[in-house]
Amino acid sequence: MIENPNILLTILMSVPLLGILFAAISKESPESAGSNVLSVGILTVVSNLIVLYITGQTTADSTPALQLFEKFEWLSTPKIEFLFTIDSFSLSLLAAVHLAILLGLIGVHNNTYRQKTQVIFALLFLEMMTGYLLAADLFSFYIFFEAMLLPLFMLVGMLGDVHRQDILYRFFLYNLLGASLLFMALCILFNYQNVNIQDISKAVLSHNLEIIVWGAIFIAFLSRIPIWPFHYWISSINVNISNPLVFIIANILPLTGVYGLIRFFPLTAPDIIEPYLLALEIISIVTMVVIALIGFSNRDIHYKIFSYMTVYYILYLLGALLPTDALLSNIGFSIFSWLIIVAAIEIIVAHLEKERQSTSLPERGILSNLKCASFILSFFILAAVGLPLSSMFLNNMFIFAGLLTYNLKMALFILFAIVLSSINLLQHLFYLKYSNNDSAENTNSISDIPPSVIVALSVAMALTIISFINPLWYME
Amino acid sequence: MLTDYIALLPEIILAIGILILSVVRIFRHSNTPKTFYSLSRVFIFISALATALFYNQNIGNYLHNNSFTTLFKTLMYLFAFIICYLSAKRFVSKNMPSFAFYFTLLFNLLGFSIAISAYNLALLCGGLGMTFITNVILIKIEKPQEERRHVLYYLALSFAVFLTMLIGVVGLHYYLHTFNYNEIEKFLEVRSNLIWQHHFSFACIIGSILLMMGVAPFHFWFSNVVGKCILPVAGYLSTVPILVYFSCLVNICVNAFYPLLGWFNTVFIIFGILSIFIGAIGANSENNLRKIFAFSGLYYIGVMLLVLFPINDNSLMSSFTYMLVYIVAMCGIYTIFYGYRSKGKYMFNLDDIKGVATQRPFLSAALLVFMISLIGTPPLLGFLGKLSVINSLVIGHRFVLLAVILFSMLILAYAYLKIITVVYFEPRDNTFDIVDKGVYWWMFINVVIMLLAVINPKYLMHDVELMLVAVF
Repeated sequence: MIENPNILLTILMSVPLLGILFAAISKESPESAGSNVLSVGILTVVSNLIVLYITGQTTADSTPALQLFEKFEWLSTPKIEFLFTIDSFSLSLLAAVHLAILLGLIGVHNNTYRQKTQVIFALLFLEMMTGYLLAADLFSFYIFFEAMLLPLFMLVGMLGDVHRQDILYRFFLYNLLGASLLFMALCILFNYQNVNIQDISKAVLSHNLEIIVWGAIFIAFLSRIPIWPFHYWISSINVNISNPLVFIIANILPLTGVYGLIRFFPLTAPDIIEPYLLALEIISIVTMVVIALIGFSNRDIHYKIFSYMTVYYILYLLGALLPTDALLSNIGFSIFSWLIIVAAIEIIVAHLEKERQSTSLPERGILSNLKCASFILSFFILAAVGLPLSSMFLNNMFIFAGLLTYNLKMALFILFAIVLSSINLLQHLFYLKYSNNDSAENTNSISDIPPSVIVALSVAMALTIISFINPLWYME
Repeated sequence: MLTDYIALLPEIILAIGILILSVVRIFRHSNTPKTFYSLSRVFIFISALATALFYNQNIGNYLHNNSFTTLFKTLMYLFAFIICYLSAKRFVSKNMPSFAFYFTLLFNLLGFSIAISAYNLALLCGGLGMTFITNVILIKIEKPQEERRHVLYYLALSFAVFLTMLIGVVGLHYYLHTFNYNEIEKFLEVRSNLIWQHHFSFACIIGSILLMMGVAPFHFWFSNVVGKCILPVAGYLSTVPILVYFSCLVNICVNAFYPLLGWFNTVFIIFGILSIFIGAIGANSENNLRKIFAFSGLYYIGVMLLVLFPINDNSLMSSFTYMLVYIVAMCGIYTIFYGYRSKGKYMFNLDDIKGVATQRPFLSAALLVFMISLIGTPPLLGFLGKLSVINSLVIGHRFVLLAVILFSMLILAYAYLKIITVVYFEPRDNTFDIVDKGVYWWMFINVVIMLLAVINPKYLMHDVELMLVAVF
C-alpha cells in the first residue's frame, strides 16, 4: 500500500516529461532508424499505464467523487493554486488516451521519417492530456487546454500531409481563439467568484457577465468538437492525415471539448444558456446526420472513420448535456473502449494503405489473403458498431436510453446517424475483404501486420473484451 | 557629501570605461575585435555591482535611487552584458572593428543610468536625448556609403525628438521655475494653476519618450532601423532601450505628471490600440525576420501602454511582467539569430531559414519555445505576462480592450505560425554554419530562466512587486 497515494498524480504528470527528456537526448544511428527513440516513447507510455493501474487500485470505485488530491501554490498575487485530482471517469479517459497513443506509437514503428520529433511531440501531447484530465482548478484546466495545441500543430504540420497551410493555420487559430475565450471567462470567474471547477455552474454573476462567461466557455469547448460551424477545419485536417499516430492524436482533441463540458456542467447548464441548449442540440443532431451521410457517400476510409468518431463524440456530448450525472460513468466506460477500437482500426488501415501504395494494388479485396489483419480489423469494426465485444455495447445502451427518456424525436435522429456511421464501417470492411478473383490472387505480394503489432492489437482486443465483462476491472 | 559621490559610482565607472576605450583605440595599435569587448564587459559588470551596492543612495535632488531604479538598472546591465557577449562573437567571426559599437553601448548605458535615476527633467532630457542621438553611430556601423541616406534620416529624426523634449522641459521650467519632479507635481496638483502651456509641455515630453519607444503612430523609424542595421545593433535596440524608456515613463508619470495623466489617458489608449493593430498587421506583412519581431515588439508595447494607464500598483506590475517576458523572449530570439548563419552570413529573411530545424534542431526548438511564449501560450513564461495583463483588465472592467488584445493576438500568432512553418515544415535550402558554443550556452540559460520562472514564479514576483512599488 502506498503511504501517500496523492503522489501518484505527480508521478503521472512527470513520467511523460521524463520521457520527452530521454527522447530528446537519445542517440540514433542510421542502423537503428529511429527505434531507440520509439522504444523510449513506448516505455514511457507503458510506465504511465502501470502508474495508472496502481492509481486505479488505490482509488475506490464505489465513490464517483474526486479522490486523490495534489495541491501546488503557483502565484501569490493573484493567489493561484493548482489542484489536481482524479475520479473513475477521468481515470477511464486517461487509460484510454494512453492506450490509444501507445497503439499509435506501435503503429509508426517502421516509419523512420522524423521519428524523434513525432515521439517527442506525441509525449508532449500525452503530458498535456494527462494534466488536462487531472486538473481540478480553473487555471491548470485552462493551461493544459491551450498547451496541447502546440504539439498537435507540430505533429499535423510535419507529419500530417496537410498540403494547404492555410487550413493548418486556421486549425491552430480557431483553437487558440477558443482557448483565449476560455481564459477570459476563467479570469472573470476567478476575480468575481473564485471557485473550483465542480462548483463553477453555481457561480453567481451579474446578467451581462453571465452572458460573457458562459457564452465564452461554451464556444471554447464547442470549438473543439466537430459540430457546425467548427466541423470544417477538423474534417479538413483529419482526412489528409496518413500517419496513424497523428491521426489518433488529432482525433483525441475533440475529447477535450466533451470532457470540458462534462466537468464544467456536470448536472445542469447555467440558466442563462438554457434557452440556447435546444438550438445547440438541433445543430448537433443535424451535424451528426449530415456527417454520417457524407461518410456514407465518401469512399475514403479516413473520412468514414472521422464521420464515425464525430457521430460518437456528439452522442457523448448530448449524453453529457442531459440534466443528470447518472450517465457520466457510462460515457467514461464507453469512451475507454471506443478510443482503443478507433486507434486499432486506424493502425490496420494505415498498414493496408502503405502496403497498397508499395504494391500498387487496388484497395478492394486487399484483406482477402491477410488473415491476421482481416480478423483483427473485423473484430474491431464489429466492436465499433456496437456488438457485445466491448464496454461500448452496454454503456451506449444506457446513454441511448437516457436520451430516449428525455427526447424521443432527438433520440431517433441520433439512432439513424449511429446506424448510418456503423453501416459506413461495415461497408468498407466488406469492400476490403471481398473482391473479384483477379485482384485476390495478386494480394499474395502484400505482407500481413508485423508480429509486434499483432501482439499489441491482441492485447487491445483482450482489453476491450475485459471491459465488456467488467468495465471497472482496473479498479480495486 | 561623500555619499553623493559614492552613489554616482556606477555612472563614474561607465565614464571611465568610455575614456579608457577611447584611449586604447587611439594609442594601442594591435587591437582586435575582442579587445573592446573585454574592456566593456569589465566596466558593465563593475557598474552593475556598484548599482546593487548603492541601491538607495540619492544624489541631492537630482538623482534618486531606490528599489525601482535598481531593478531596472540591474536588468539593463544584465541584458547589455548578454548583448555585449554575443556581439563579440559576431565581430570576431567577421573580423570587423568593434570600437564604435562598444563605445556607443557604454555611452548609452551611462545616459540610461542617469535617465532612470533622474529626479530632474533636465537630466532626463539630457540622458535620453543624447543616447537617442548617439544611436546614429550604431546604425552607421558597417553601412556602405550608398545606404547612408537613412542614417541621415534617423539623425534628423533624433534631433527633432530631442528638440521636442527640450521644448517641453524648457517650457515647463519657464512657467514653473524648476526641473525637480516633486516640485512640478506639487504645482500641477492645484488645478487652478493649469494653463495650456503646461499641457503642451507635458505632451512634448511624453510624446518624445513614446516616439523613442517606437509607439504607433510614431513607430515608422523603429522597424526600418532594426531591419537594416547589423545584428548586434538590432538585438540591442530591441531589448535594452525599451526597458529604460518604460522605467523613465513610469517614473516621470508617477512622480512629476501624475495630476495630468487623467487628461492624457485617452491618448495612451488610442496609441496603445494603434500600436497593437499596426504591430500585429505589420508583422504579417514582412518577410524580414528582424522586422517581423520589430512589429511584434510594437504589439507588446501597445499592450503595455493599455495596461499601464491609469497607473496603480496592479497595472504597473502587470505591464512590467509583460514587458519582461517580451524582453527575455527577444533576447533569446536574437541569440538564435546569431546561430542562423550560412557561409558566414547571418540570415535575416524568412526564406533564408527554410527547413533549418532539420540541421539545427536545438536552436529551432528554442525559437519555437520563445515564439510560443510570446503568444502567451502556457506553460511557458509568456503565459505569466498574459495572465497578469488579462487579470488586470478584468479587474478594471475593461472588457473591450481585452477583446482588442485577444483578437490582435490571433493576428500576430499568424505571423509566428508562418515562421514556424518555414523553420519546421518546409524543405531546407541552405547549409548552415557550425554554431558557436557560446550561443548555445546563452540560449540554454535563457530557456532555463524561462522554465524556472514559470514553474515557481511566486517568490520572484513577490520581490519584484516590492521593488516596483518603490516608485510610488
